[in-house]
Amino acid sequence: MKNKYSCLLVLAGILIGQLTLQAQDAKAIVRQTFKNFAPVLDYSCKASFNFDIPGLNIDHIDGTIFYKRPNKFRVRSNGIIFLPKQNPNQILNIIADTLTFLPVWIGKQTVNNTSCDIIQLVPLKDVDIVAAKLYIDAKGYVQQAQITSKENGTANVINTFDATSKYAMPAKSVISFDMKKFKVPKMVAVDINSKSSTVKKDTGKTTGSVSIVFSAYQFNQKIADSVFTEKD
Amino acid sequence: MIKLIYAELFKIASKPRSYLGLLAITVIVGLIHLAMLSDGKNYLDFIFSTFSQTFDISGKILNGNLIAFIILQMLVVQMPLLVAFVTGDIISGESAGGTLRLLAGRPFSRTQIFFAKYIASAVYTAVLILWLGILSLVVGRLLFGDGDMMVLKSDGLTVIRAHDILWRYGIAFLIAFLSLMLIASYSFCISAFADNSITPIVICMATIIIFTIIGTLEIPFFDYVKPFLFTTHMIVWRNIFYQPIDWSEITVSMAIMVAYIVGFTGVAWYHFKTKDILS
Repeated sequence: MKNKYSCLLVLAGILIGQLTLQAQDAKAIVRQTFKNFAPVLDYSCKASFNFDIPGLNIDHIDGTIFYKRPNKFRVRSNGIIFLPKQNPNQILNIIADTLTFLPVWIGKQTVNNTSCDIIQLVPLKDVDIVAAKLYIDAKGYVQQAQITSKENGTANVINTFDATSKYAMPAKSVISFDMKKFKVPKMVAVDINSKSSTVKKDTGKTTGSVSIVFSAYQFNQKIADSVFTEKD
Repeated sequence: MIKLIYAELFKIASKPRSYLGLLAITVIVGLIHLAMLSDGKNYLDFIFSTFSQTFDISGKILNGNLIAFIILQMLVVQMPLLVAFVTGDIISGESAGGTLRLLAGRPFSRTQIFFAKYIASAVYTAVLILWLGILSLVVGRLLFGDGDMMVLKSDGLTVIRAHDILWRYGIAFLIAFLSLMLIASYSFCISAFADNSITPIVICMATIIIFTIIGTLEIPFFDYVKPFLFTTHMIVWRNIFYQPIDWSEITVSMAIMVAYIVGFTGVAWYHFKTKDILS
């Protein structure tokens, strides 16, 4: 009996030790990622948006993205843009918030032909994001991120980097997200004289994606706060 | 013939009821502009709430192009009534007033009289559409500015870029004119049979209301009926704002409307040519 308890204690010790080591490794990886981005206090860049969203017919459009720490984000363009609630900068905010999320190393995987460490971020507080999985390469670049939130479901972000990428900022991001099929009451849409909807039998669940190509990054220009509050 | 058309236009212009349509459009569009200026953002938040739950929508949503579209949609039922108000009276009004017999005694053929009245009705309809276009689109763009347009359907949404909008409005107003000409022809046809001005207007209004209600009901049985109702094809102008544009559906609907116009006008003309004008 005594031996049995001893064995269990040893196993538990090994497990806790392993988890602690993994957490330490993961922390080092996340720290490296954050270190890449740390010098950036704000940035602006040109962005080209392409949309592939079921039920939403919208052409490609260009715009300018503005970001300022800690979480100010804005897209300025001449037209209407639909962006998923989970914008790309959300990843940086999660990484920076070391008090809210505990990083745990859970394995390795190749993304974009690059070997990546998979880091699971476990929320330590009751926040909107319930789980986040980051795929980080040896340079500390986030090649892929899966973020699940209570409000907005799961979003998958795949980043592409090129030779000009500075401060771990991607050259392209593709954001895929779960969404329900849109259904607007006919009286609201004033969509009269169309056929009745009894023949539609799909589940309504589907996936949309937005791809953003970034260029002409400009860092630490001291972007004024008014940029983020000005009217469209 | 030109003189006859001028005379008919003069008759329309001299009747106070002819200005009711213009006044109604001015008041309705003015009220919508006023409402949108004061509370347009909240209205659009409600309309697009299904989408804003999933997305952050950035850009100038409230703009003159969208307001013009909303106005056109709202007037889809009212505009035909305004047209019928004048065109339904154009023959029967004279019949009731006893001036039709006087006119028939003049050295013009009945066909000339008939088509002079018909062309005058078409001019009146064009003026109504033009006035609606000026107020909704031109004034709307002056008040609310230019911008991309979000077009809502029951199963989705289309965003049309600002540079791609004006030509669509041009075609939409042409189709709307054709739609109203269908109503003008219908009321004109009833007017040729009636001896008082109330009957054609009431029949025309009742028909539009009944057809519109059937078009709104989501009962599969009515799917078989809807293609035969002219109100189904009258709203095909909306399709110009969808992406991609279904030109075949638009062409078919326009062809059906032209067929209705020719049919109603033909029946009215034949009856007018052969009927005994007793008053």
